[in-house]
Amino acid sequence: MGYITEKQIADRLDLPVALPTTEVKRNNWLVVATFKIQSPMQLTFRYLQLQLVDFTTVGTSGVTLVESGKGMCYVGIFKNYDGTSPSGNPNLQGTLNDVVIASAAGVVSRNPDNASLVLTGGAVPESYSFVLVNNTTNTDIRANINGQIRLDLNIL
Amino acid sequence: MSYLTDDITSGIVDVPIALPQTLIGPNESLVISTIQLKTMQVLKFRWANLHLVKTDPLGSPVKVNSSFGLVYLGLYAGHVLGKPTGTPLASLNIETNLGVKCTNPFAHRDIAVPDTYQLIVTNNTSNLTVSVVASGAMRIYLKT
Repeated sequence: MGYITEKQIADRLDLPVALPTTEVKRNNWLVVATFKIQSPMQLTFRYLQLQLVDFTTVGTSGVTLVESGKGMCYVGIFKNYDGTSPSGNPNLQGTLNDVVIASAAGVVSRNPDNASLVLTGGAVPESYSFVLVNNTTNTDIRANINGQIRLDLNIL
Repeated sequence: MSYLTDDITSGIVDVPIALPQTLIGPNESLVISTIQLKTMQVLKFRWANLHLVKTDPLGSPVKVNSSFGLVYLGLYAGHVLGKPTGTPLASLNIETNLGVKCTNPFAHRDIAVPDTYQLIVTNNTSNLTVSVVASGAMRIYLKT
């Protein structure tokens, strides 16, 4: 592992992924942050926490999920999500790259010891959006997000 | 090219630009960040993204100021009261369509004049409510 220089640190930014506690209605979603990159940039995603603060149904047994396996709510990184369709549903609009899932009230974290997700910019600019999705059809939720993604502006 | 020291890295602060998806009414603005820059400090405005997620209604926008896009993110100097006026030091415009725009990080601005700086998102239409996201970071060198 090499040392880093002033130039390298000047080209590296830690970008916030931050949502204060916010209500998301049933079967709805919210874009939290969007980053558009192209060569020679690179994003490295390692650290994020999602807190499901509370929800409107009593208990989780009566909750109806839109997609099984994705909990009551989740944060996903969607590629090229633009929300231009009438539904705007991120699952229909972009490619899911990484996800943190909350199935009950409490805090869940992306395990920082897991391999980081590395997104390298190509010749064409591409955007990556963190989207908080309420994955239920009958429950409103309140959640907050704290996380970080690292941007290297020039990896060449 | 020199290696980094603790003294160098301790004087570098990344200040977030973090506006989650938010509704802004017609001809309205929102201050999303305010920075007081002191003597000997340098603000590097290099990396910001603006995402116009949707408009309500979908339709033909009527611009308030034809010099800017439908929605723009502006960096202003001086204490701004009420709606922003004049030309920002730097701006990021979404001209016509939904989507994402980002600054060119290789043509950035370094600001060393002590003042109060504000990042403001403006809905530059008189007939649409917009849903926008702003993301990024500004770097401040505390000692130069």
